[in-house]
Amino acid sequence: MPDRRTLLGWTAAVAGMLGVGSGLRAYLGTGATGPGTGNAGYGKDPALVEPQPSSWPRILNDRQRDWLTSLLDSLLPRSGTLPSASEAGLVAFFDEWLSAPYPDQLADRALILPFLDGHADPVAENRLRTLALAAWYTTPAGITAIGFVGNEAQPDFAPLPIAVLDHLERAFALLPEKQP
Amino acid sequence: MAAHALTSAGLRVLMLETGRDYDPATETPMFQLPADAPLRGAATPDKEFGFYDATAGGGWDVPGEPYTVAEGSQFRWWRARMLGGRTNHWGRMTLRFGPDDFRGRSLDGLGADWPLDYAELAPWYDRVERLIGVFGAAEGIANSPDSPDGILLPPPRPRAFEHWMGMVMGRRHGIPVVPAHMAILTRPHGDRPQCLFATDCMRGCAIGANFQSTTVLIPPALTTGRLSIRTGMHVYAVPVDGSGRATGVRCIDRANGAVHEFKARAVVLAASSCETARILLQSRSTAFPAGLGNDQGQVGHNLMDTPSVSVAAQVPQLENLPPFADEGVTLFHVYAPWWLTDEQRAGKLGFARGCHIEFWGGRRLPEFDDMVAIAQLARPGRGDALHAEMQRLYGSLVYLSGRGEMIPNAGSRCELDPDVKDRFGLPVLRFHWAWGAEELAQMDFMRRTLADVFRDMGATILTDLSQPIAQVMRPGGHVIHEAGTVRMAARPNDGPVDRWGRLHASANVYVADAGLFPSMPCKNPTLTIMALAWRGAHHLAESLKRGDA
Repeated sequence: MPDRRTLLGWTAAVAGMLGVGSGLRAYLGTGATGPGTGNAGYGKDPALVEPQPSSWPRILNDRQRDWLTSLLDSLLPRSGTLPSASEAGLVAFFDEWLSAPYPDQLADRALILPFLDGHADPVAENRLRTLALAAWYTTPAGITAIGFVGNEAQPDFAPLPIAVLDHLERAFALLPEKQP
Repeated sequence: MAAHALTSAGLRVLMLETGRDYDPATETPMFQLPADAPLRGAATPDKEFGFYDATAGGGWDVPGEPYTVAEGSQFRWWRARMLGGRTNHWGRMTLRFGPDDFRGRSLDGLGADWPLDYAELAPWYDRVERLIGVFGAAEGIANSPDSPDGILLPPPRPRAFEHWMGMVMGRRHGIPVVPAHMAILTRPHGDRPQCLFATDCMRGCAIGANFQSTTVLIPPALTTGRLSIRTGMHVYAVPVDGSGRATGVRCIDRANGAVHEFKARAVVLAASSCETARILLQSRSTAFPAGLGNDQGQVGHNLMDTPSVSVAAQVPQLENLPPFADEGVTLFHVYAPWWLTDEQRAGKLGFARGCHIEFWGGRRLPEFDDMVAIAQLARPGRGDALHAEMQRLYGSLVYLSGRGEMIPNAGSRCELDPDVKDRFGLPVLRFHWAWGAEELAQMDFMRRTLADVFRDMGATILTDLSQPIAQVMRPGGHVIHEAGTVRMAARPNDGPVDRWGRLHASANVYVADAGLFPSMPCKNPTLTIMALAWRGAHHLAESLKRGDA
């Protein structure tokens, strides 16, 4: 099964929770969502074809949103046809992300909110940058800008472009002689 | 698979599914973008493989239906709660087990032999591959059988990153990289169209171009008029009569908790390896006080999963490629089969059994978690410089995964928890898990091999290689290849099920999932599950016609 799951930070959070206590332990999931917690996520069977906007209350205040806007647009200003971070909807993205009831997002909330309130923190700033880039490059404009071609039906799987094959053959020829 | 085979043979079948009805034609998010989804589609505890993954109502955690893990063990159990179950979510890797895989114990003294050999299962592999549609090629690889001419569909060319990895691994390391065998249509197959070469297979397929039982098996079974399906019915026990024969099944309606009993001439359990064991263990009666088929105390034992270790790297040669369509079938176009059979036989490797290598990466639709991974590598900067960094890095991350073979051991099993019950009041499973010395040695070898390949091309390895191998191997259950809990054996004291998949203890109860496997080679299990299920269903149908099942 997919190895991208190894990249998913929340699995570490879950594993951490399972490690709590000793003796026999029930698999309790994350405990972060579900009925009665007041922290409902979108559940285990959301509509996928027409996704609904997430319903959890947003927590950023106007001052945090303003500061976030200037931070994000300083990082990713408008450039040619590429929209700025705020034009690409990243402020709303962060409000959704930092308000979400899941372990990864709760960890980001704890890290980033103090930073948005003016506490200098290079770790928070770096995480903000990472999330901003991932959010920008998953917008329609970002998907095109990064060089992705696809997400539309192809009549067949076209051969690799000659330019790509040549690039790889040249790269191969440049590898140093293999060490025994 | 069993329902398809039994209805084809003229028998009437009632299929009981614990999850909800599911229709890939209307429920698959084919072209939806990450930006259309909550949290950009990132993985959460509600959707552990990302928002659009084709798993409904389940995952590592099914609310109200927990399981427990014994102290000192790590295990996770993936369950779907939907028609078609986990066939809606799988890697589509469709490899035949080879002749040696059926007689491992005879060859090296470890584990258990199968009560049948490759030649006996080969015609059923042929049938399944013809029915579901599999692409691949005949490579003449040791212990990795070719299919007869005319069965496999043509494989797609490697994606760019696979092409590069294949060049380096093949020419500089002697590791063959060959077309994968995948249950994805590269040509029209019956009334199913070919792949669109776009959109992630793990979301499912609305047009039925990959294998899901909901698109390939259930519709034709329904058209026979002999299949009835009841969803939301959680089977928990198989009652028996005074002679030990099953009379049907008992189940709970998950919507309202009502108990139902359905009568049948025969019962086929295909609930997945561990749930099938749970049903048998809960089927206690005067005749079977320890659970149906559990006279020898073996049900739930010999639990296996695939040992796995991954190494990720940033590959400079894959930077700054010109834009071009390279999604392909979105899952593996190639894999590296076990290439050291001779060296292993000569005793040069220091461990038993083979491994294969799977390839992840490439110029896929940018998904949030992938973009996080490359954003973390982007050098400092802002604006255009930062955009250039992301464009440079896109498509240059490669994840190689080594997959081995677990030898069953006494420390890996499941049983009924004596204390914990689910929301229906049913005892839950408790898992015990321990990797053995062979798996640790296999994975240590694979990690070194994968790291060598990346180092040789000057890649930046992103995985911490300093950890002990036992700490970086995925815990039990994580590869979602659970197998072996009700294994086949010629004699009842070696396994609860006979060579046809029928309980030794009860002639009209069959098993049709990976619980049957006496061994779990590095080859992915789904094709063999289906071949065994079809073969067992054929045996059941013949027995019913003769009146002796």
